[in-house]
Order: sequence, then structure tokens, then C-alpha cells
Amino acid sequence: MIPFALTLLILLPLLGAFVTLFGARNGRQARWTALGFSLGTLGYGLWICFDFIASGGFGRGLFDFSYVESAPWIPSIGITYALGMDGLSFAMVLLTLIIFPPAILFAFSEHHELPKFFAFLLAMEAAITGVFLAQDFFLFYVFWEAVLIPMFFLIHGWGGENRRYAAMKFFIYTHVASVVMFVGFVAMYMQYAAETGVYTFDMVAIGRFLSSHPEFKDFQTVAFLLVFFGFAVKMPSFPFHTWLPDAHVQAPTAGSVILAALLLKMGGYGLIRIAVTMLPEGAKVWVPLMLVLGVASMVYGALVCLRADDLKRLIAVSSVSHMGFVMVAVAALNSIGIQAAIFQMFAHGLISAMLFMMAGAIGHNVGTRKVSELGGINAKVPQIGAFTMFAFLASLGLPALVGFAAEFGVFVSFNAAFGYLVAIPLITVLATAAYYLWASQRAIMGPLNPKFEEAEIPDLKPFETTALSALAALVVLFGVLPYLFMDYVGPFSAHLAGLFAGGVIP
Amino acid sequence: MNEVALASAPVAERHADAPPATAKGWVPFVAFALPFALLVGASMYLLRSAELLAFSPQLVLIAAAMVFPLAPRRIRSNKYLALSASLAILASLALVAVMLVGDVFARGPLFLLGAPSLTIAGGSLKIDAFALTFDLIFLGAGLLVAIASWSNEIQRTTYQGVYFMLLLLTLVGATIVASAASLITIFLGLELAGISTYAMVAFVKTNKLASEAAMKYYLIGSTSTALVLFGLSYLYGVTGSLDIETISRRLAGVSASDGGVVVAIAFLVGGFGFKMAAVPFHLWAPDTYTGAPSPVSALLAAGTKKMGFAAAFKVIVVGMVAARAEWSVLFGLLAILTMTIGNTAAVRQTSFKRLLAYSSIAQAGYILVALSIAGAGGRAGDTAVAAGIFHSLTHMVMKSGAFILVGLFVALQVGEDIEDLRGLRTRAPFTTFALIVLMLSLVGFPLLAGFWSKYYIALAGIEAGGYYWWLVAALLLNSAYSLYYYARVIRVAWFEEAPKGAPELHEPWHLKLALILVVGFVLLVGLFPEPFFVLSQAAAQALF
Repeated sequence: MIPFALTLLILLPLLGAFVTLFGARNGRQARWTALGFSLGTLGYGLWICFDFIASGGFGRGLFDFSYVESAPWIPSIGITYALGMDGLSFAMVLLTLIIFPPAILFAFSEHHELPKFFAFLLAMEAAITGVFLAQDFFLFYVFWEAVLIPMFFLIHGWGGENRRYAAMKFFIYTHVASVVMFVGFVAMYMQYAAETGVYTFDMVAIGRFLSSHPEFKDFQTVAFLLVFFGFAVKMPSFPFHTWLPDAHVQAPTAGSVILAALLLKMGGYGLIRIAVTMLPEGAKVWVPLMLVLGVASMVYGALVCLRADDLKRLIAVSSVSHMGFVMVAVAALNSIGIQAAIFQMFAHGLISAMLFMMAGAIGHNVGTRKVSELGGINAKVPQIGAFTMFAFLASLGLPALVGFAAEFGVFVSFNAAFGYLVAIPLITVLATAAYYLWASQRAIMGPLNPKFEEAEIPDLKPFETTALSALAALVVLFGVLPYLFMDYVGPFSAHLAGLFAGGVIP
Repeated sequence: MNEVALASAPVAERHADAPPATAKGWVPFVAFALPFALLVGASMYLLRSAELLAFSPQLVLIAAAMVFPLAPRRIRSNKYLALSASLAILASLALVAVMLVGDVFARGPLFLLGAPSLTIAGGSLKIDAFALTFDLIFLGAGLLVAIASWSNEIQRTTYQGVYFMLLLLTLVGATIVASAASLITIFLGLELAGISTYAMVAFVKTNKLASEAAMKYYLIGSTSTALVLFGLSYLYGVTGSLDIETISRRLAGVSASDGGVVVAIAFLVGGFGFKMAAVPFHLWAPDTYTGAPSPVSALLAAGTKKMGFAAAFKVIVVGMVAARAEWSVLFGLLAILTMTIGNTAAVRQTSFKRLLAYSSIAQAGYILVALSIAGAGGRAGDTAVAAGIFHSLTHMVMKSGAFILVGLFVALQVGEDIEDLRGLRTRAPFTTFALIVLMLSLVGFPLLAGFWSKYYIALAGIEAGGYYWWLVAALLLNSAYSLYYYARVIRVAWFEEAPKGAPELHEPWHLKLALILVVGFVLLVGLFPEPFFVLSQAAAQALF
């Protein structure tokens, strides 16, 4: 593998952002430059991922990372520039690489100031990749915050009617949570310094130390709560989810796709990587909290969706519900649970990308996203209808699609840890099916709404179909052959569960 | 003629009854400056003593200062004066930098001097890393002020040469304070810089606001100098020596509740508090900063304020280290008051310049936090001193930049109010970028210079533990509080629509250059603060 492989993976989209911003003179150039860079990043990233699989990097120990790059950045404070990849970050980086080209394809239909739009998108790709690869707490925080800024500008500049309010709410809410999370990081830094005398932000060093010293239970309890707050707001978990529906509804299509598919996964990634792995004693203490919040997210999300009218709002709140699955899977603290959580993040990333693309397409082509105003549009725009149905079915967990495989893992782990309480997630799935099928019956498949009788509704364009087909193929692939994914996060999950040797239920 | 050209039209064309302006301002200046510089250079070479070399930055400034009053009474454009002043300051900066590099980064003796520190002038000046770092701060501020002084405000006055002389003498005074080893030297430096700045504030005689500001500043400044002198005299009385190191040794043997020590602390904190514009000694600052011409405000906020801190570091932190339990609490209370009141007042401002004045007050509060933590002693105390020095450096750059922006807005006839900045993004994209970077840096946005300074101070406070946690909490809360008004400026400039018919703005190249330097520095320190941390730590170590 080439030196600085991971830095290059982060720099490539960033370079693309600069080239698009300053080089592209019109919309057409911006579109293709951005697409080119995202596909280039995808290609390069896949090369790294295949090398990772071939070299067996996913099978190494809990804090053994591959392609580690480390350079002193600010030694006086103990900040290093450190990157590394293991099974968990491999999964998330893979998701990032896969999602961006279709998202950029779907952004082709944006109207004004395209170079800036695509520059922001590519900058986000760089920052998100950085979050998943960072091995130093400060660097992690920098990338985490860096994601917020392009997203804010995307919502503010290209969003819907109420975009200023939504952008501000998104930024302030998640920023405050990030600061609390950073305070947790500093607490871990100080604890490590107090015990070993070394002042460093290195995640591997601190993680190894804290996870192997169960005597700091009190400290871990507090620190877990601090960092958990930051991740819970990001995931988002009930009751900290209120920024999400507004942000999604007002964001442009590509922005929503990235927000749902990737930003939310940052929260889940942080939960597993930092909160659970490095603060196991704290995690054990707060399992009831995670369980309650996760279940509340699932149930609340499902119930609100039953009443949602705007399709985008419906899908946004369903994201809250699906990330609740991630939270309860993590709360189970067993090997299957962690595996299922990671897989659910991956699955939900693919599916929600498709869902938001369809919501955007419907809104753009038909003119309205409200279920009450739509009706049987499948008759007029069969491609939109087909892909929307497919996405809905994937999201509600139809077997043979990736959603089912992930949720099944969640149920198994939930049952292993919490016994008969698994009835609650099962009923949630029922509710999920209910609202999706009801929405699709009213909006897509039912009788055609008379006002569309004479209307000319454009169907999907070729580039949109390409994007959606690619995602759909992956949804089917990983749904039918889930081991293609699970095998590579299995060892990580097993090692992590080993930390909780006693398990939650002894 | 568009508005910018009109504003820079010679005075004579606008006042028909005024005497005609002289044509070229630079001819007599160069005629005198060149031989003078040669004379100074020759004498320095001939004497070649380490003492002289150690004092050479100040010598260059003094030599140049003596030449400037020779400029004609009335000049059309002070471009060459500003250029010459900048060159003199750059020469001085180069000398400081050479000496510093030798010490700090080569870990060896001060280059050219052959020792980590040099006490000269019979024990009244000590040139060490602390002195040189603060020299860097003052000269940096001076350079930016000199570049910004090529402006219409100053150009309309008479005797512009004197203005630059005063600027250079202010720098001399400030650097003397930073290099002081004796109480009297501190007083001398404070007075030299103080008197020069009183005159600079009043320089635009036709500006009533400036005259009023100068009057306030002069009266209160003189009072504060008297307070300082009184405190210094008590310190002398208690310890029997004027030398700071001797004082710090002898004070250890004196009980901290000794009446003399208490009086000294009270008056010194009060006197220095005036210079730092700490609450409740800050009442002169908003009016003075707002009324003075923008380059002078920059000098006050970035230069002389740091001089007050340098003096406080020397006299109180080092000299009165034995009494640190007392003044630590005092500074802590002052810090919280200053930050809170500064930010609260800034929130309510509609004038951008006045907002910057109150923001300077609040930022001084952060350095006071560092001063307070310095009283904790040990590793935390050392980190706190380094953090205070680091924040002085970054704040100097940020505030100079901010006041240069104000000067720019005045020159472009945009106005001093926040509302005047509406839609600046479309009218002047580069200036808006500079404005946003500086505002975000002042807030403490990550990866900009301001973030590191607040982080470093917070780190020192966390290390100190105990009651200092409250100070750190106050620091963080105030940081969040200040976001409100900084973000308002950004919002107005970036997100609002420009008023109808507002013309596009063309910034003068020299102000653009100054802003590029400032923004570049802020971004550089934001991404790679390590060298500056090392510098601050070296300066802190040299202090003790």
C-alpha cells in the first residue's frame, strides 16, 4: 500500500472541492468535475478496501489498526495527526464511498451556483471520511465539526422555504452537542494524563488504557454520559431528534441524502468506537438508558410516521426510528449486537439514500411531496413509482433486501440480551410496514388523483436511474448475501464483545 | 470622480483658502534619513558591544523617530512616511527575530548576544525571551498600524511626521516595559508609551469625538500612572529594592498580610488594570477606542493593552510571587467581571467600532484568567503564563486586523455601524472573508488562532484544578456568549442583502496587504500553533 494512503483518501475529495469551486466556470463543468472526483475517490477507496480485506486487516485486535499514519501536530498539547482503519471504519468508509457518486448524480438537477454546491458536497466527503479514519481525539473533533459547516451552507443556500431556521437549528443543536462531546474527550485526556503522566489525545493509547482498567468505573460513568450526549444528538436519538425533520425537509435532495446516509452514521460510529469500546464500564452502567432511548426512538418514530403528510418528513422521522435499532443493538453489548448495529448503519445508509432521492424526485417532478396531494402517480411515472416502492419495501425490512438482514441481527441480539422485550422492536416493524404501505397506497400505487389526469409529469432522467439502480443492486446484493459484509465486521464485533466477557445478562 | 477618489483628493482642492500643499513629502525625509541611518549603523558597528546589540531594536526605532519630525508641515500624501515607518519597524522586527531564533529554536544563547539573557544599562533592562516575545507583539502591532496609517484621516492633519514619531516612540516605550528589570524602568516605559498615545489619539484635531476621547484617555491615564507609581513606591518601601528579581526574593520573607504589601497589590492592580482596560477600570476604553482614528485604536487595543499585561507579568507575577494567593483571587474576580461586562455591553452595540472596543475589554478578561491561574504555581502556573503570552500574541493580530477593517470601512465610506455592513459579501468579497475569519477567530472557532489561545488558557485552568474550574467555566461560557455578537456581524455581512444601489467597493492595496498578513497569520497559527506554543513557553520560562 502506498504511504499516506488514508490521507490521500481524505485529500482527494478536498482537492476536488477546490477544483470545482475555482475551476468550474459553469454548471455543466461543475457537475462532471464533481462526479469525476467522487468516482475517482470511489475507485481509489475500493482499492484500499480490497487491500484491507486481502491483507486480513479486519481480523486484527480491537485497537490494532491498518494503514496507520501518525505525525506530530501540536506536541505541546499532545495532539497528533493520526489516521487508521479497522473493521468498523472500513464499513463506514465503504458506505461513504458508495453513497457520494449517486448523491452527486442526483444533485445534477440543482439550479443556481452549482460550483459552490458541488464544492460543499465534496468537502463533506473529505470531512466525513476524516471522521471515520481519525485516531486522535482532537483530529476526530475537527473533522466532526468540519462536517457541520458545508451542511449548514447547503441547507441555507439551496434549501426550501424555511431553510434559514432549519439551518440555524441544525448547526446550533449539533454544535452544542459536539462541544459537550469534546468536553468528554478532554476529560478522558486528563484522566489518562493523571494516571500515566502522559499528555496525549491519541485514541488508541487512551482507549487501550481506559478499557483495560475497570477500576475507573465512576470516571467512566460520567465520561460516557458526556460523549454519549454528543453521539445521541447526532444519531439522532429521541428526545434529541427534533433538529432532524426540519433539517431534512428544508435541505436540498443531495444534502438530505448525505445527512441521512452518512451524518447520522457518524453518531453511531462514535457510539461504538468511543463510547462503548473505550468506556466499557460506563457502557455497562448506562445500558438501561441506551435501551430506553433506543426503544423510544423506534416507537416514537414509527408512531409519528403514521401521521406524517410530507414524504420527506415521513422518511426523516423513519430515520430516527431506524437509528433506534442501532442504539438497541449496541445496548445489547454482545457480538451479534455490534455486528448488527454496524450492518444496520450500512443498510440504512443505502436505503435512506434511495428514499431521499425518491422524495426529492417526486417533489421535483410532480411538484408536491405531500401524501394527501399525491395519488397513484405510479400510473404517470412508473419509474418513480417502482423505485419508491422498492425503497419503501427495503426500509420496512422485506426479506431478501438488506434491511431485513440487518434488522434480523438486531432482533437476535436484542433477544439474547433482553429476552421477551424483543416484542417491542417486532411491533415497531409492524408499525413501520403499516406507515410505508399506507403512504405508498395513498401516494404511489392507488387510484390516480384526478388532478394529475392531464398533467405532464416527467419521469426519472437517465442519470437518476443509474444512481438508483446502483444503490438498488447493492441493497439486493447485501440482502441476499449478507455474509459479504458481516464477515468483515465480525472479528471487530467479537473482540469488542470480549470486553464485556460477562455480558449484560450473565 | 467616484467617491473613493473624492475622499483621497488633496486637502487643498477642497479648501480653497488653505495654503498650497508641498509637492513631494519624501525628498527632505530621505535627505535626512539616509545619512542618519548610516551614522547609527556606523556607530553600532564601531562599538559592537553586546549591550548595544541587545538594545538595537529600540535604537533603530529611536533613530527613525528622531528623523520623522523633519517632514514638512503639510503633505499631500503620507504614503512615504508610512512606508518609512513600516521599514523602520520591519528592521527592528528583523533584529528581534534574529535574536529570538537563536534562543528559542536553536536552544542556544541569544544570537549575537551570547547568553540566554542579557542585563544591560546598569541592571535596568533585561533582554530575554520574554522581552523579545513581547517586542514581537508590539512591533507587529506597530507594523500593521503603520501600514494602516496611510489613510485619509491622518492625511488631513498637519505635522504628519510627528504622528509617526509618536508611533515609534510608543513602540519604544512598550518594548522598554517588556525588557524592564527595574521598577523605575517600567514606569518610564509606561509613561513614554502613554504620553505618545495620548497625543496620537488627539492627532486629528478637527475631530471633536477624537479630542474628547483623548481628553478622557489623558486624564484617566495620568491618574492610572499615579496609582502605579504609588504602588511601586510601596513595593520599594517593603522590600528596599527597585530590582524586580531582588524584590521577588525579599518579598518571600515578608508576611503577605503586611499592610505595605496589601496596599501595593491594590494600587498596582488598579493602575495596571487601567492600562489593561479591566473592569471596573475600563470606562475610558470604549469612548477612546471609538473616538480615536482607527489605526490609533488598533495600536491601543493591540499594543499598549499588552504593555499593561507585560508590566503585570513582571511586577505582580514575578515580583510579588510570594503573595500569589492574594492577587490570584483578585485577578480571578476581575477576570470574571471583565469578561462578563465586556460581552454584555458588546451585545447591545450597534456601532461596529464600539463593539470591537467592548470585545477588546472582554478579550483582556481572558488574559486576566491566565494571570489568575498563574498564581496557582507549579506546572499549571507556568502553562498559564505561557497561555497569557500566547493569547496576547494572537489577540494582537486579530484586533489589529479588526480595527484595520474599521479603517477600511471608513475609507470606503461604508460607515462604522454594523447595519452599514449589510450585504458586504457582494460588495467586497475579500474584505468579507477577512471579516469572517477574524470574527470567528475572536469567538474561538476551531482551527483558527483564537481557539488555541482559549484552549491553552482552559488547559492551564484544568491543570490547576480546585477553584480555577470556575474560571474555566466562566471562560467557556463567555466564549459562547460572545458568539452572539460576533455571529451578528457575520450574519449581516454575509447573509443580508446589500442596500439598493450600493456600489462595489475597491479596497486600497495597502490595507488589503495588511489584511492578507493578518488573515494569513490567523490561519497559520490556527493550523500549526506548535511553534508559537514553543515561543510562549520559552518566554514564560525566561520570566522566572
